[in-house]
Amino acid sequence: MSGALADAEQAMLRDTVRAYLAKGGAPRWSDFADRLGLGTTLLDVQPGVIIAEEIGRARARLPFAEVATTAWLLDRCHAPALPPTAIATVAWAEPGVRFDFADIAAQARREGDGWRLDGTKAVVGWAAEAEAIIVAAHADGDGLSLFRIDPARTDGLRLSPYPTIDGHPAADLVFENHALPADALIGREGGALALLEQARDRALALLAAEAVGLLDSLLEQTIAYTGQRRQFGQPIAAFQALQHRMVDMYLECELAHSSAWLAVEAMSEAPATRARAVSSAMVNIARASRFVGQQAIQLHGGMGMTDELPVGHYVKRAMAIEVLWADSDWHLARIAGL
Amino acid sequence: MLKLTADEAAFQDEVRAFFARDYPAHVVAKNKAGQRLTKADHIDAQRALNARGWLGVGWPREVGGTGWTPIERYIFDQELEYAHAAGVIPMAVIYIGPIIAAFGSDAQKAEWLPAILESRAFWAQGYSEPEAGSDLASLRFSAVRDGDDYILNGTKIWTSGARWADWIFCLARTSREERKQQGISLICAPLGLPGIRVHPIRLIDGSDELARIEFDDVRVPVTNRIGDEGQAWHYANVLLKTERLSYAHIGSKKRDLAALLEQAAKLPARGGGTMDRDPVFRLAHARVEARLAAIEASILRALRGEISMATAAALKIACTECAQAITELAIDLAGRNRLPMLDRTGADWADAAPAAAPFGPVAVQSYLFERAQTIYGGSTEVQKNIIWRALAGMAR
Repeated sequence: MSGALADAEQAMLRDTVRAYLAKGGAPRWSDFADRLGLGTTLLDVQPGVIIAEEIGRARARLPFAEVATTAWLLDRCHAPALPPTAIATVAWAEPGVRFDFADIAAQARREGDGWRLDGTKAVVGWAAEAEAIIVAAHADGDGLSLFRIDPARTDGLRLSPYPTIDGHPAADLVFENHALPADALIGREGGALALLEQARDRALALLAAEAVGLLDSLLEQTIAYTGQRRQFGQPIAAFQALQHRMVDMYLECELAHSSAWLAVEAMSEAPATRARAVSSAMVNIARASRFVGQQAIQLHGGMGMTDELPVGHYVKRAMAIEVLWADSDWHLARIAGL
Repeated sequence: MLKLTADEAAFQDEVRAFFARDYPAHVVAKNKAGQRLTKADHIDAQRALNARGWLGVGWPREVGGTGWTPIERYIFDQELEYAHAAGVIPMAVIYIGPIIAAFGSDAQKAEWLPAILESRAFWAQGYSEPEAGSDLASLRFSAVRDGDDYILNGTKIWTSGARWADWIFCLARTSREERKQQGISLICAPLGLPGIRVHPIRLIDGSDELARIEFDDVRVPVTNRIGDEGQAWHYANVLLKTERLSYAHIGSKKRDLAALLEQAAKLPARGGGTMDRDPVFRLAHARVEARLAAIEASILRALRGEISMATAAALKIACTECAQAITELAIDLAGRNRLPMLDRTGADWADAAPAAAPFGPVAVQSYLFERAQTIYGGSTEVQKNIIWRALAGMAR
């Protein structure tokens, strides 16, 4: 990606992340953050997308977008930062919310010095692993506010953990009269909507880059497999119908790459410009994810259906990214101003 | 042509009444709740069908089959699917049963067919091999004659239902001939024999109903061969002709599309509405519904008349792509509810993610599993080759 980081610095960061992830195994977030010396880097989308793309390429199971988005929100709210090695996440989705923050129903009531929180948060990535969760709720029934939650304090909090399709952990959270100290409120009371929208766009820029890494790898895996798989006395990649299909995958990958650039370069723009660019990017990324994912499985034949090969796991991560913060239809509506 | 005759309509009522009254309710309940069925559930379901004389679909009457016309068979399939009944596991009933009935010995018919109808024996299909998928005729699984026995060696893959099966029917090479389609025989083996190892294959949807099966010097009597030596390709094609439309599943497609509207009514849309009122979803839904209407008409046309190889191949593509389009619509509707990956074995499976709509995990697993529809039974690419051969012939 172009921008603030010089080309040489970008290449160095890319190589460092790639080398770390190439060691294989299941990387732990704390080790990853420590070894890469992540700190203020987490606040900057520019190096962030380089890291995210490599995470995608390696399909590393890491809460990068979650931690980076939380760090940015804390920073913008002038709240104390977490150590970069700590896992943290944002809880906004609810059973009654499709993708619009305006539909959030969770409520925080002032009580004594602190707050009491009621509400249900759905499919919160890395919630059970997190040291801190930022919860979006209405404070005293007015406007949207952000509260920093310590999930270890389980009084009035029921947490149901389960895996998601991409193998990442998630949990549903039910708050019932959950007590929070006064300083749990971060940022201006009732003024979180615009901030949360901006956080979404930043998270999407990182996820777009991760998707690019995933899709590039899917294309590479498919080219390699069809070159080695023989049927009818030749590698199946010798069939023109399959060659053209892989070329179509490549075209989608190229547009996905450009889309990720579009998103990241819009980060510093005014909200309306930023929103349009990010949503345009995500519509193309979603389309690319769908096509490349489906064709990668199809061209791998039965093998593409197996849990044993990486291809299905890459596809499922891309399927998760498609809806983590909004889906393609939501983005289209935002572009159209509906 | 697309309308049912009075007799056919009466038959439809009869089938519908059967599923409402005489079919195990717990199987229907599990299907509606998205819970995976056990072997015992399938046995209950098959026994109910067999009690009514309706399990041997596609079999002639003299061996206990239904003897239905293609349209009656279609009506039955559709009503079964509308009722959320268990799909008939095709391996024994639909794939090998009719071949045994047509080409098997009297002893085979007397032993194997009743065991299938009485749910005493489940079967698995041993066709594909690691190196013989789309190019099935290049299979290498070998059966070497040794006195009154065959010695079987090789690997079969993508075998569904192997964990429940007692028997497997295998395409095996019994001789090397000029054409690779020749010299293939159909040989059956009990799965418990020494030298057979079953390795379950876990799929991307979390299921493990498929398997890879290795045969290492497995000895079976020559009497386990169905029909003549070297004729299996011919038998398989005869079967293919009668079973070409068994993958149509128009009933389940209609049922699933209708269910999507019900689910949409329960899912929030922006601003407090529900997704059944969301015009974008409704148009996408209508688009698939319109496609399905044309496919259903095509199937009915095909059932009423003769059907060419090219038409059958085209319908296979249309039906499987439509099934995939429905699962795609479902995951799109599910939104973030598609994210949880839950094991749907127990009755309370959905409790694991209390804030997510249970529809989501079912939808995403179906989406992933149904990716296989355009791969198995002759991939879309192979079907297109078949169609092109017919089109190229027209030009000559």
